[in-house]
Amino acid sequence: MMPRTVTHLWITMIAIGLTASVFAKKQADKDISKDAPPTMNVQVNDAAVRAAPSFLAEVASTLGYGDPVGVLEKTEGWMKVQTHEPQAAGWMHASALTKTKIRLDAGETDVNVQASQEELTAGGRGFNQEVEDKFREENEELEAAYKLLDRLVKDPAGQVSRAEMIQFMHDGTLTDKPGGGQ
Amino acid sequence: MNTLRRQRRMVVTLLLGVAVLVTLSQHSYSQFGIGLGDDDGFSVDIFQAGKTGMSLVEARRSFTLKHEHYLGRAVAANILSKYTVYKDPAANRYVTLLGQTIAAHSDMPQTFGGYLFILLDSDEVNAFAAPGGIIFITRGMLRACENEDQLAVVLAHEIAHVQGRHGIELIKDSRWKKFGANLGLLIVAGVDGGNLAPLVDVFGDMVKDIANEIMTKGYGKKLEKQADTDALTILMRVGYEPHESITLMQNMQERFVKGKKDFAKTHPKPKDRIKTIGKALKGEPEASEVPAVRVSRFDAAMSQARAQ
Repeated sequence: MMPRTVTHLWITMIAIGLTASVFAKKQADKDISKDAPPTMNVQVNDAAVRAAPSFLAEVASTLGYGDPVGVLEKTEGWMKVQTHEPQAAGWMHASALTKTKIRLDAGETDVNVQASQEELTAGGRGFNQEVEDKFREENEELEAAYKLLDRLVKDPAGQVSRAEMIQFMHDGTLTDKPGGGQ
Repeated sequence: MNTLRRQRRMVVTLLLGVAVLVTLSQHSYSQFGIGLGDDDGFSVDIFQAGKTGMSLVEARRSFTLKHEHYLGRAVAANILSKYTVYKDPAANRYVTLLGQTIAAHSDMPQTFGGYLFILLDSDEVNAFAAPGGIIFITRGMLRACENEDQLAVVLAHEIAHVQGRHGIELIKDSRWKKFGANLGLLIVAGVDGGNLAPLVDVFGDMVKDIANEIMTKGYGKKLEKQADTDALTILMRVGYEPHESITLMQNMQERFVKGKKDFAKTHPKPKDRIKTIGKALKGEPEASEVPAVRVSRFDAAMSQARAQ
């Protein structure tokens, strides 16, 4: 009679304990999300973090594909973010960020990205360099065009620095009105 | 007494069961729900997709900027294989300065691989945008423009196709089904596992869909209209005279040669586009003259390129 009651008591206590721990964890998660800024991830290569919400503002640092940032503030088209490495705050255009955790290709493993093992295993499957290489092998008639494209992409004449853009706009009496990437 | 005890035991067991289930479910969601998603936080359970096939909407929306980048490169290679690149450092640099400035003021100032502007040595009056930001302009199109603001209209229109990710809309529904199923299988197979060939096939099919459409038919009435109005927004941000769009359309109408493979085939009739643009510009300040400096620097940079 007595041992059985004790067993029941134990089971009840374990059940209550488990339930309580689940609720406590939920509460803890809530508290964390309240304090830490919501995380977003960089979805472009070489994303500029700028001193002000404008594409004509100075570049403070550059982040890589998949790097996480904490969002501190939002304005039209721009987000003020906290970067982890270096630990700093700056502005990024919202279109360069995604809520989705970016997964890296095999060999692209970045120690800064705290991705779980599952995510790394799934990482980067889809259209990537590997698919392009296979496609090029199968479509030899496009190879010359691909090589030409690679040359054009690498040519510095195809890029414009911040100073050159400001000069070009100034010379052309172009104004800078709010909105978009500026 | 016995019944009471049994009832109590049942309650305890139930409580315990619920507690275990709650704990397990929390873990299983975060660990196994591998999703592909886009910036709206939309996500697709890829295992589910592998088994049942992603819905078309899901597969489309799961397409990342990186996927689009590789697709765009292949589309660009297709275009480059059919046209000759026009080599003229002055014209190239000027179009690059203008194009990058406009792109920086668009709703998508940065793409995965960045914007690139390429001139084509062709008499066609045409311009194309490959997904991801590789943009082509023919010499014929340069000749149709009279000043910087009109060339800005052409470039802003193509950039609007990129920022709106219009290329993805040209992919046939059947490709998305294949894409969803094969991607699901590859993810289940893990890094380096699985058969890549079916995904490469889907890639090739998607490239054909987009390249053929943009070179022969354009993005279709709805997306062209969207690009025309979005272009106005971008142009006004930079400070270009938006009414030059209308002058450009009128010029182009005169240059169209019936049955020719060019802008006439890939875009709605200039008459209809003028109507769309006119409506969008209602309430904006009256048209003003393009500053002389934006005519002279255009003329200087384009002297070779626009020569017959």
